[in-house]
Amino acid sequence: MCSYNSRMSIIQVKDIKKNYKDFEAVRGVSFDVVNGEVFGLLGPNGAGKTTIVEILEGLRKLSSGQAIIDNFNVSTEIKDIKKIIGVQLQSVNFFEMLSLYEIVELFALLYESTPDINDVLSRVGLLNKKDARFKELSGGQQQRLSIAVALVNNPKILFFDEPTTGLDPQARRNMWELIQSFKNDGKTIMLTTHYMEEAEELCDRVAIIDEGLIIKIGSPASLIDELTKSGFKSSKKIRAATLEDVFIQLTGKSLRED
Amino acid sequence: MKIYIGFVVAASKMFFRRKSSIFWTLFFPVVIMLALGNFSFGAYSAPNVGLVNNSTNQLANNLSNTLSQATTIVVKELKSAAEGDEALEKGSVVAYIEIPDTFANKKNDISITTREGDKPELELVQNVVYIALTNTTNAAESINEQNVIMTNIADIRYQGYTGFLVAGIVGMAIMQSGIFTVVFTLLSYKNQGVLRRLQATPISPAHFIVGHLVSRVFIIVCQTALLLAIGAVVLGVSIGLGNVFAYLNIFLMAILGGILFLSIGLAISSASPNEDSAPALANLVTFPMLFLSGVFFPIDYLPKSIYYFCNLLPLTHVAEGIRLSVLYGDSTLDTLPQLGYTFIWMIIAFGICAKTFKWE
Repeated sequence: MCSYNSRMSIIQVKDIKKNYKDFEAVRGVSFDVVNGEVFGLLGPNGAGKTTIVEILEGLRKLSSGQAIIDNFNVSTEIKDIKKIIGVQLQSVNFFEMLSLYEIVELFALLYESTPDINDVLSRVGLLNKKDARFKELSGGQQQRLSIAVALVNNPKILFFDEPTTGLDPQARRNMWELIQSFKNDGKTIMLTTHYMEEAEELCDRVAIIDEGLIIKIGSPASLIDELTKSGFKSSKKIRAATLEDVFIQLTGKSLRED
Repeated sequence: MKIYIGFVVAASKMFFRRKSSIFWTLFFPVVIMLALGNFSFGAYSAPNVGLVNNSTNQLANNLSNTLSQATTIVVKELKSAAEGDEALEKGSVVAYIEIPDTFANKKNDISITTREGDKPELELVQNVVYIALTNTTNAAESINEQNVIMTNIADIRYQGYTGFLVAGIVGMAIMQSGIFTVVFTLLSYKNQGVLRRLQATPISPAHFIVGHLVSRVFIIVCQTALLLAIGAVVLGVSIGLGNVFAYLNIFLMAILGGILFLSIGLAISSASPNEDSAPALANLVTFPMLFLSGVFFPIDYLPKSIYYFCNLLPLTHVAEGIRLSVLYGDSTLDTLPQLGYTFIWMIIAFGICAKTFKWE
């Protein structure tokens, strides 16, 4: 299971801190992300997940510490990093007067990349919406466009910041399948979420963050084992299925928005 | 380079797809121009008429005094026929009367010079002169002859308030489009996180700023051409007196002025602490210029202190440069002072815009 040490780490974060005036949003965080894994940052709202991700994406400057992505330093070589990463931001909009095709085309140009725009849109299931405007899309479709835009430069690493927040169960499961398919392509994925079942489903390893500090890092299974070995017993009865399974069984797995 | 072109194309597409931006940049200035351009401000008062008295004899002085007392015209004493021509060109008089140095009872030879198209004014002035002559010389029989009062139609085309206004509106439209289109677009990009998403791509702010500047300058040039075409066709203003270099100079002013006001617009959206304060700030910047930069009326008659302040405003020079080319066919060399002021303002504004630009 833990063959991570034998594989190359593609992201190395060492003791990074981020202060906003008097407030310390990130208070000395270190972790490595291994090439090809899905690494999750878990934590309640305001824990500092987004700040960490945005530092790695080059959207915020470090107060101290060091972060290396694919041998490039975040503080000094951010332009090189931006070329090899794909970014899906939390709550983002796109140019409202352009069609989806034009938006993806424009972003491809910004990366000086020439993907087949139709391929990119069909990858996220939006080919039939290529002439639509961003505002006409449902929440799940907007998220998928955001992911399509993240794919235009065929990135090595994908950053997804709460990709399923606000989506209905169908759209969420569809998003999980999509993220899984990127992992199968060999991409490294860093994901933030506050849904534990999402982390359990997708992540090879997770870091649990609270108040700007990492409390624990490990694979979901090992963290659960560790807890149960310590004598913890869940007060919740374990059933063979969840209410969400019931919901999906009754309403069907297909997306409702198309 | 591809990225710049990509931004120019995308920004232009977005602009033309938004109906409100077409309304404000193309339709609105045209409506103002047509509304004010058809309004004849001069028709409500007695016209100014110049008087050049070349004679020193008593008879000529009597005639001069009688003319000055006329109530249907306002007489302005002028030194020479050249001054009269200049006044005609500027529009400060509708005609001028010249009394020759040989003026005598029997041989009057008074001339009235006016512009083409000023026929009603010419008839009015002829009548006034006829009556004055009759009263002064008491020799109506001597002036019944046709050659007593000569009328000249000077080869001067006065463009009237309409000509003044068309040039002013072109300047105003450059400012309004420059400032308002970018302020609101940029703010909406900022608030919706579009800029943030762009920040995550490898492009630099320069790509974004220059891409938007170029697309908007192109729109401003189109707007200038449209306004001038409507001014010429609908309002009958002669643009640039047929001088190609005057046309080129108008577009040069539009480009420089466009970059100048677009930069101010970008700087305003960067400087605004929030969405509500940006329109207020934009109005604070544009409103004084609307009235103090010679868009709707000349600033020459304002009190000296205000006049100096007017000359500090960038739109004053943009509007004046365009006006000189539109009305008098001035080319780039003739408008170097105006171009110089505009250029300096452009550098300052672009510097501020580049320094203050923020992705969020």
